[in-house]
Amino acid sequence: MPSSPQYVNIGSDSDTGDEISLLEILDNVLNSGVVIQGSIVLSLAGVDLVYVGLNVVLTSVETALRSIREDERAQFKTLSRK
Amino acid sequence: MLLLYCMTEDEVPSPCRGLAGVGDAEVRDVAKNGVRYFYGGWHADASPEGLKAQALEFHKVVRKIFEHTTVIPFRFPTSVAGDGELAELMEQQSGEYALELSRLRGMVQIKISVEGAGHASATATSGSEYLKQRQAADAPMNATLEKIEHATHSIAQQTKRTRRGVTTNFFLLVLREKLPELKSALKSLGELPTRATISGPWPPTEFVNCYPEPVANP
Repeated sequence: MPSSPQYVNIGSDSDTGDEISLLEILDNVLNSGVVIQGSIVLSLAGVDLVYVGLNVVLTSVETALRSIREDERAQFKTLSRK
Repeated sequence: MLLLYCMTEDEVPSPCRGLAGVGDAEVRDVAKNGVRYFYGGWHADASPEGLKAQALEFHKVVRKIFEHTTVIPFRFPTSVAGDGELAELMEQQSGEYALELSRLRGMVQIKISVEGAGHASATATSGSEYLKQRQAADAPMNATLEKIEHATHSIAQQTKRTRRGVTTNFFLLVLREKLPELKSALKSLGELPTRATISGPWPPTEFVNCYPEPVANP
């Protein structure tokens, strides 16, 4: 279905991000960025985030937050059309 | 435990210093080989709601620093056990990240998510028929992507496409000063064949070239 592009906070650098949807923020902080070596185990919401080994694996955070994301998706009406 | 927020070049404006971080822990910083690391004390919240709140607090810190300088964020919740591990990390990786921060200086990332129509029909009777159906299903999304790419190619320093399910994410690396020009180009697109959501500016994480190889979950 034809659609105009929707904009989320583009070009407003001074904005602290309040207009960015929570879904976008969570997606960004959990799925992009540097991962490092580590040697600890964290258990969060019953899910091991980091395990003993050479590398820290953080993708399982996504599993821990899947329920949150589904909630956010259901409420995902905050895109501001400019 | 120390939560790592992001890296910047060594010299950063004063508003980037002394911020309140996750759980109100002070955000500290230390520099090594031209890279400044921002970090702070952290206790993981065990509830999904608590984790969500911490992720948002993390975002606010990185966002605040990103308003003033180029950053390479760590993925939340990347952490180290203490100052010794942080020093080891800095010793090992600062050289590579210094080069990347220099290369990406003044640049931001814009993300454009373009929705596809869905998967090809499961009724295909052969591989080639399946591929044709899939090509047809992707055609509107690809038309949207081409239209966006055409409108922005002279503004972006670099672009990248990644596919996640039926959605294709199109990332643009843009000089911060070119954002008004990019915004204008995107506004001129008018109606697109499929839905596209544009967000940013974000730190240029998709264009960092020195990520360590990830390993599979145990």
